[in-house]
Amino acid sequence: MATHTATVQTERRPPLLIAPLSSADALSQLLAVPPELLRREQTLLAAGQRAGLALEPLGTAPLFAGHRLYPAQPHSWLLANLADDPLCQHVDGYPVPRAVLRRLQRLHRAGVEVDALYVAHELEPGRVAPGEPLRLEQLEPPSSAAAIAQARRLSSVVRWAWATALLPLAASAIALGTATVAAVGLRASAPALDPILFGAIVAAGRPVAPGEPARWLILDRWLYDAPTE
Amino acid sequence: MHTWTIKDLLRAATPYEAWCAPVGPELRLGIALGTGGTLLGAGLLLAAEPALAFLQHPFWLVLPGQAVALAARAAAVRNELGMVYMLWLLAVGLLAWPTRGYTRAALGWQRTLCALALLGTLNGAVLLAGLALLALNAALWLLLLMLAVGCAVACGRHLTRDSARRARRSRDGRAAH
Repeated sequence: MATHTATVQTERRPPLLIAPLSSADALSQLLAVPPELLRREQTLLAAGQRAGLALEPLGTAPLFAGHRLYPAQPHSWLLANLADDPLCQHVDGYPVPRAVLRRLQRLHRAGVEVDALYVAHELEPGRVAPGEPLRLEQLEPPSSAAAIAQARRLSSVVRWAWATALLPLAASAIALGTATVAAVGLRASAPALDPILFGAIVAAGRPVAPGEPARWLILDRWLYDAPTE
Repeated sequence: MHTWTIKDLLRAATPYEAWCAPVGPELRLGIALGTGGTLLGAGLLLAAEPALAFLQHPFWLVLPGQAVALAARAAAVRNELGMVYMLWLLAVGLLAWPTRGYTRAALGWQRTLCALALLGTLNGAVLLAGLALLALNAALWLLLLMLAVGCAVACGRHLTRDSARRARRSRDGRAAH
């Protein structure tokens, strides 16, 4: 992050650049990184290593509120303060694979705590337009393969149950079986999303506020279309 | 600036493996057919009520021995489990009725309803056996009726033949004298 730019190597995609976000951000980057901030980062990295969990330090960048869009090809990236991520408002909770949740729990138990969480969402080009309000539907990942498989299993149970139920009454169960098949048409063909979860820490005693220099780390990343279990 | 910590995320997160996005427009078809299936299932059972009541009429139960016991058992099965059977039909119909897509909550309902459906299947099998026993009872009654009619007819014919034979003997006797 010597030039205020951090490169996040993804497995299948071109690198994501956390570039200077604005002139004000660039100015803030010119400030020297407080030594206590570096010490705090080292403490966190050491705690993670003790728990057997490697954290990827990225460098220094200022905190911000809301979200920022980074158009790119073939996919754009949306970097959002997790508290401002519309997906947090989802009625079924924030979807995170179990393996990632276990890792986060281990980090939490190991004493690794950050001041702010950010998430980078991979998006199809044009799915989110600059300047437009962000909607929950734009970030919803596809249904998990496990959920789709479970719904299909339950659907077959329903068809069988209907056929059994209507057998004594000598009624046709064909139409009703068709109904259950139609009902489990889960959105399996939605585009894959590849979120990255970042943690940011500020120097001890400093406010967690926009523009405040912070050290950024990658906590984890996952694929929404490939359940980990 | 409002921020989240790892603890906040852990509290708000749902395992993605159990997380489902809403389904698309085909949901409307599922709702329509699921509703129709529920109403059809309940309607068919309600329509079957008079037939069941007819089969359970005491007149049909007037049979000796084991047949009476079987018929009584069938009647008890229907009386005790008929309502459960109807509820089962409704539950199975509701399975095809996702109100807002296969969300986590909907899948939870699905599991519950599937358990109900499995229990109901057992109940349905018992009810089916009860109906079969009622049919057997009716068949036995009909057989008995046919036997009775047959006996009556045979007896009538015998009596008729006997009467004719006596009349012929009487005529022959008078002619001999």
